[in-house]
Amino acid sequence: MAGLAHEIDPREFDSPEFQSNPFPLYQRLRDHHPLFRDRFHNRWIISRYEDVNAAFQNNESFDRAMYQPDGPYVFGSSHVFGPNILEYGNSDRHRWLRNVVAGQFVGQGLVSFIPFVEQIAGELVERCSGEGEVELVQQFSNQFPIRVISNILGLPRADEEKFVVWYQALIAGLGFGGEHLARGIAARNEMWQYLEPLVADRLAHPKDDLLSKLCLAELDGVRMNMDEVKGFIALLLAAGGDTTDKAIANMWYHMLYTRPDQFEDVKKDPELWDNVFSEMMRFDPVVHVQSRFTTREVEMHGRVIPERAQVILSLGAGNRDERVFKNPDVFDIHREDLHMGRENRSARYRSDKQGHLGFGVGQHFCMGYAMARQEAVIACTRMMEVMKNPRPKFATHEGITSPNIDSGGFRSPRELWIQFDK
Amino acid sequence: MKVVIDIERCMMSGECCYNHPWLFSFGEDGFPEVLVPELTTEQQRKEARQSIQVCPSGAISVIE
Repeated sequence: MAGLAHEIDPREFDSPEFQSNPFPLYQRLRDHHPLFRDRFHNRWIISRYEDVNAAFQNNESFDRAMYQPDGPYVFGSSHVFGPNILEYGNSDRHRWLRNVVAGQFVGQGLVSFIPFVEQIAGELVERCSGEGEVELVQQFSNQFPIRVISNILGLPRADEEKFVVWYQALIAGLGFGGEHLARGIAARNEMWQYLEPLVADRLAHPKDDLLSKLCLAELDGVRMNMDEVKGFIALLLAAGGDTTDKAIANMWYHMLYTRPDQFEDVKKDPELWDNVFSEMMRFDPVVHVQSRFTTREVEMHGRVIPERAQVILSLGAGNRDERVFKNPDVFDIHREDLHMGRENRSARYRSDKQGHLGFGVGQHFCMGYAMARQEAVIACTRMMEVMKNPRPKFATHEGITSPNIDSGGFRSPRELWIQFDK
Repeated sequence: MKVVIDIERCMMSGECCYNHPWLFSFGEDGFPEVLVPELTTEQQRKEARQSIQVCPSGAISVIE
């Protein structure tokens, strides 16, 4: 009878309890159902660190996109972004498209954007530091990454406000169906109309910006078509904006409410914001799940997942795996068993420490990971320079929530009021 | 023309292996290994140059 307490009703994944606090259910998954077949949602769920990490690295068995055994990938034509790199699965085309921007976001090109990031962070902090208090989500974090990415693309600064609005509609359309999806697609179409002349202009008169690079990149002499360029931009705006925005809010939340004692350490040594970022990405990252489709039968924990089945890689659960991290439910910026600092796509580190799974691993590892960390750390550091003695305005907080974690809904505080000395 | 990796500088990011799997692969120890000893085609040379760009630790270089 004891085993029954551990049985999981798949409808629990849709419950408000799970959405506000998924961690007890994650533990039951890891301990009793390391491979859970969710018949209700027609999917499989894996949750242990080692299994999630291995699946991320096993491209032969797991594909990011649903593939056709005898033809091209199935594209979600109703996707908010339109055709985009995420849908090209494990193909050479995906690798090529990724390479178009990889040098900018990951490698040697990143450094050239840092002054931009500093400047925009400075402007925004200035704008919201006059009153002695700030609602971080609306007044700062929601605004910041989208302005950075639209600048990197080379979009006109005068139109930044437009991107902020489109971006918010796109994001709402990502996580929810129905009217949100319709509004998201409407915003995307409006943005596409706006972008068309810009794309045409860059094709005729290339500049030294990312938009020009996207327009002109060639694979075997062929460029991306107009829809692909526009889809790529939509993806960069949304993916590059929303996740970083929520990461910044999460970092502040944990400092103000989860570990005010360790916040004192950060105030003394602002370089520790790097550790706050790492531990936040482990403890409760913005994104908790990634989806894959099996390309063949996969055996795991004595069972067989059939071909073309959806598998949820629950990285939020893997990050709390006590098989890997000591006291995994404690937020600790001085944690010795987690690699602090820049993440590796390979998930291996010279120090032999383990990394968090918050960006995924491997082929589809978050393309903006290095940028996200830079933005978040710079933003938090600038804020603390200007906003002296920051403290929570309210003694209690409802916590980090997710409107619908199961559909990829991002986890973050709804709002976060901070008071400081002027 | 050859592509070389400075293993002392390498931080094991994995970017070279994932972005340019025809040129690099992971060794047993997790560090990248060069698959093509001599870059003979223009495509290989182009990829080698791109790999320098994506490497976050600046560990990749090309020698004549």
